[in-house]
Amino acid sequence: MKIMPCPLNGPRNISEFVYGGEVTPLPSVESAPDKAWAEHTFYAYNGTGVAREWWYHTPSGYWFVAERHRVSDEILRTYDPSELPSDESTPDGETC
Amino acid sequence: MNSVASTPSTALSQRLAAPMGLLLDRSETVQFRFEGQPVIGYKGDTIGSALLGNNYWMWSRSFKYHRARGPLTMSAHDANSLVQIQGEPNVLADKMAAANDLQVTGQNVNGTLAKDKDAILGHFGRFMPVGFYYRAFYKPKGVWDWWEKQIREKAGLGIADLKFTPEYYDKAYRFYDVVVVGSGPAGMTAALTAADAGVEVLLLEEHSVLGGSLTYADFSDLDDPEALRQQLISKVTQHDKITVMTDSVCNAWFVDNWLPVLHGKRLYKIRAKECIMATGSYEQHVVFRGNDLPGVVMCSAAMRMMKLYAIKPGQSAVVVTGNDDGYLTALALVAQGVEVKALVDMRGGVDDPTGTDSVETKNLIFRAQQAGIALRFGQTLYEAFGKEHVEAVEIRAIRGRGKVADNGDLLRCDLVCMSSGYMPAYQLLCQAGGQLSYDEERAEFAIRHLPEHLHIAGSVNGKHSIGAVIKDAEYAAATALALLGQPLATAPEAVECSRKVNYDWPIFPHPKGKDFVDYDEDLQSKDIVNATRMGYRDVQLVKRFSTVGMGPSQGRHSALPTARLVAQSTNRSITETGVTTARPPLTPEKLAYLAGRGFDPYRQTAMHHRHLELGAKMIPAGAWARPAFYPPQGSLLSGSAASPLIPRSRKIRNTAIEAEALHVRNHVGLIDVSTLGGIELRGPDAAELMNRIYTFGFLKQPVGKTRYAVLTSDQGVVVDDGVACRFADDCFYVTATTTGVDAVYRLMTFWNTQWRLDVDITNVTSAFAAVNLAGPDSRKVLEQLTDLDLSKEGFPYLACREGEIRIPVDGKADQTIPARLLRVGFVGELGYEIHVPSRYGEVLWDVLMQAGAAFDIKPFGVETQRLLRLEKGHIIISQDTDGMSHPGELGLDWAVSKNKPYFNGCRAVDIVMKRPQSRKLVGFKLPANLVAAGKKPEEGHLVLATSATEADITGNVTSCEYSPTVGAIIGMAYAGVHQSEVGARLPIRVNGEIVTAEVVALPFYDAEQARQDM
Amino acid sequence: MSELYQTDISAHVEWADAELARSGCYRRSAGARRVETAAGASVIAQVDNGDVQRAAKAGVLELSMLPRTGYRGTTTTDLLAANKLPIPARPNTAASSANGECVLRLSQKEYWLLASPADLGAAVMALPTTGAETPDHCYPLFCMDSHAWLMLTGEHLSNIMSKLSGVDMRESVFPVGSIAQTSIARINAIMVRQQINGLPVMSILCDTASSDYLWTALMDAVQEFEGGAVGLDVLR
Repeated sequence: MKIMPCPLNGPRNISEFVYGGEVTPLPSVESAPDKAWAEHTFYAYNGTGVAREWWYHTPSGYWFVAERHRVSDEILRTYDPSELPSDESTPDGETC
Repeated sequence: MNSVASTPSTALSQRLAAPMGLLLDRSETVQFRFEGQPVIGYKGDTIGSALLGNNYWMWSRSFKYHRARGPLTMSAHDANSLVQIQGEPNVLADKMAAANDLQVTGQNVNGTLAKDKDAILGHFGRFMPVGFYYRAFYKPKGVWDWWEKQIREKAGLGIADLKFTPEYYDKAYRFYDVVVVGSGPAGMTAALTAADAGVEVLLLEEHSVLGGSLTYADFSDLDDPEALRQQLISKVTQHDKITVMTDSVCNAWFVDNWLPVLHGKRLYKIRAKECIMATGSYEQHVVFRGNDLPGVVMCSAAMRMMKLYAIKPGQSAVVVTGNDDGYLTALALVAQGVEVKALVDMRGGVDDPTGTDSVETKNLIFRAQQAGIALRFGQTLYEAFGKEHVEAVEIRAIRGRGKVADNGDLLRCDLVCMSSGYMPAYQLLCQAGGQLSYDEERAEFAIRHLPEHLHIAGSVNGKHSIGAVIKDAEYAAATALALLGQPLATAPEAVECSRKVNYDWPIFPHPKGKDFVDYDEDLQSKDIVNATRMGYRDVQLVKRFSTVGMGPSQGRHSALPTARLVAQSTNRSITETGVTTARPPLTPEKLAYLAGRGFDPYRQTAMHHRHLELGAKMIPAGAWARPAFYPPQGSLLSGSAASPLIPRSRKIRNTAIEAEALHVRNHVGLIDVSTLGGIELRGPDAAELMNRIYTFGFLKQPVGKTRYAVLTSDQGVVVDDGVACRFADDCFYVTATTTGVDAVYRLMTFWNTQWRLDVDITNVTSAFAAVNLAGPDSRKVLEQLTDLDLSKEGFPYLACREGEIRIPVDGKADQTIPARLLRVGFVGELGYEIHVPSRYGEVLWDVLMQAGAAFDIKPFGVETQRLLRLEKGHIIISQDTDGMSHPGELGLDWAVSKNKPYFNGCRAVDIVMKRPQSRKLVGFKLPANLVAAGKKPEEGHLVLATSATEADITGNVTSCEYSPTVGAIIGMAYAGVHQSEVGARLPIRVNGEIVTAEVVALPFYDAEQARQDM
Repeated sequence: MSELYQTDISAHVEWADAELARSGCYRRSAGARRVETAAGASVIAQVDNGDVQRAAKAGVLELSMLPRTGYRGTTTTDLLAANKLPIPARPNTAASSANGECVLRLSQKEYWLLASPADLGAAVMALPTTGAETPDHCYPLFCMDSHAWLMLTGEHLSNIMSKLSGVDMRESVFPVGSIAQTSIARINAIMVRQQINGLPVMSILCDTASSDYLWTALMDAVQEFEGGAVGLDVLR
């Protein structure tokens, strides 16, 4: 079983975690065309390189970010979401 | 030697003298039966060695041809040694300890081992070519059904005891800095090097004693293997940083060094920061006709028989070898009184003139000559003769790759020892992503590209002298230590080993076959070649077509010759050809290891035992159990009860839920709703969070009021619903579905991690026990227990309150418990949901049942609740919705706010609701008499466009029940938009027949909401 | 699934009739001598004369009715300081107060308190329970009702836990004061290693509704160590 190093809880079996999708900003709720929303909702990047992903540690209810290599599956780094640049952690929709 | 057993009294005296018999405790004997005959051995014997000690060399019959089979490796690495012990099939005779009173029999036998009626199958070998089953039995249609039964009786391994007594198996984790797999000279050295640096080490050994090859092998660069073994063992066992586990098989490698280890009745799940595989290598056989006869064994097997078990393996032997190790075996045989008729060295012939030129080999040749052994160079065995034991061999000169001279010599013998080289124990390493590359010079596979924290040492790493093995182990341990952050002061250097132990082409096909490549599956060299000629050129396809490597020994001996044969036949290199994928498990593992003590969590509400005491019929709801209904005490319903089409259990259910439903409609009922999810939102931004998550508007929700909360997904699909209670400006308590609450909570925290609103989100599902007290008399029941103003004006429909419930205590003043009360309309009557801290849940149930006694209160179950809410046209998420249901389809447009900038899924809801709608959830009605006729639609039955049975499908029934209140069958279904108007005809296919329902307006009951708004 | 419907445990427990607050698995210890806690409910005081011996090896306690509470929010440390409670330095560590309470720090701003067996929770019961009594941005949690409190005791803690959990809880890497929020026996739980009354113990806080399940899993796990149920007296 793969080990996920959780920034709050340390290394744990991956079965303690839930995957939350890639870290991608929401398109603008007001101005993005329907097509952009559909692509955001249904399309995922399927290339190589490093992915930045949301992960959730179920027993502690903790969300964090993991950087994972898409080819080797190696988890390169995990960190608290407060380290995300603020323009990426907040969707445009927050203006509501 | 023949297979007539010696009598038990003489069996022990035939054993060799010490120091042979390392594993034996000669002070104690064991006796058991084999094929009904008595067998005697010493404590420390395996079943296999005890059998050999009593001259039983035939242990089983082969899988396909029912050929006689006996020991091959003596190390539990082959399938020839599978025997049956009482109810347990597939026991490895050369691993299982001999014990008193066992009843051992051979496997794959029709009749007895000695008189197997199916042994004749061997003579039909040429009619059972490779891929036989695939090609022979598929025409005409249906013929396979008959053949399958016949074949299953002939094939298969052993007989399982279906009346077994379950045993307690379990699992446990262990954690180490370094885990070393294998305790040979490499494993023990690596363990010591690592432990000396101060890290925690686990040393795993599959056999019962430490030492690996030191226990049985001789070495050209080591005079006294036993002395070295004792020296290493004493250091290892006295080291306080080393834990030793013997009889422990590391059966797989999983990512991040997660190692499942089988030991006794426990599966250990071991985590290693660093793992060193010192798993050694498997000695390889020579492919010639009759190489499977009992008495034809690996050189290492003969060594094990002598050194471990004091078995004299024969009287006169022929050794065929492609390396120096065959010489060491021949010398050991001579030393134990076995006549070695010939030492046949495949090297040194006309096409390999320098094969025996090394100094070491020259030295061994000299020693063999001194011992009086007849040496033959550049020759091989071409055929072994015998019926149930080898009796003679034919030796021929090698004339090029795989070719032999036209004539040869016959030699009588009762033992053949083979060594054509070694195959690294590659399986675990390939599971870890290691790749095999073939070194043409050394005729050997090497393993490359291992993960960072996995290391190899010893012969698995191509090191074939003791000196190189020890240095390699030190190097591997030093690498591991460096990764642990504890590098050695002087790091050892990587070692090279040039000693060649593999003969390039030990495959000598015979025109009449029976030259086995794979013993497990009875595959001969021509079977492999034929598979490639039929177009299966890839080694993976060869495996699937021929079944090579699929048997219990998983290619330990067949992988290398198969790779060589396929490479040659397809004109590719052996590296290109490769071997088939190695997958877990390494060795067959009992299902008990996986099935033993699993964890099956369950959840119970505070009132769980009250339901059991009332005899409730319980059904699962996620990990919870909930009462479906409380079976009636009296007679069953007269209507459907008479119908022979309805099973009794269904009649009981129908009677119960109809009675419970009518009771709620007319009196008062009580249902446990503790499993409902609950989330508490507190803080200045609580309303803002609600507003952004759910579809409705919540900013202006008044304190003391509830509001329906619908959650849509990113795709615009309705995925959860609940009731939002506002207890203060900055405090919401929102319910969620039983199975959805964890996902709702996760979604809220996910977004708020990014929004960073000033709100605290807590999942309080288990903190509250809750009931719904429902029915026209519910107010009268509750007013006895609370000081809250329960009047219609004081606590109206859709309001919520915080208050206290009084608990009468005998002879004392009443006590109170805190409670949250919600006036909700799910079942469509005056009613109160009462939520209390879970510790008080059972008391709440009891006090309501007592206070309700005067009003004939009755508990009701989930199935009844489903009927009641159906009468009201309320949907249940995931019963009446599916992965496509957007708010428009469900008639929930009213619950979607148009006046706020955002909620979860808002853009998707906009987009899907703009599209032309294809279906709609509608209510329908059918006459009651269809129940008794067995034509009541069930959930999932299809709605059709027209009444033709083959008409297009437009939807499906999501809920359907007979309603005693309405006096008809009522239901909800997805229907095409064209058939969704009130009054439309709705054809439903019920068990192949069309039933036409009428679309009616929802709800079915109390459209004016007068009942719940009392 | 068969466990869902089990009826093999005592349906009616007489002493429970007199108590309003009951744990999720009180029927499991019907015959034991009990002691009332500051929460106005009871926990097992003693199962039988073998308690001390079992507790030294592998005891299982059910302490759900022994008070505990928790707070989350940026000002929680103010509340703790005002009540003279220690503040553990890092998330997932615990500290003990002079009175024997155990303060758990579960995240940057979430703290739980476990009662001292000595005062049966009187001090914890005196702490605020509603938002009105706490500072702004300090929210009382519901841990007395949302979570059950079970405990393992004795010399075999690590080996018992290794049968239930994939987290390394050997004392060398998980010393007294360590916390693991993890999955044990396939349910979520908070594990805290403590030393109480000279006894090595592991407090286990799990979903209330799962406490009967976890009780059976723990009782199964301690069997090979000659363990079993014990009462609170072993902690005093």
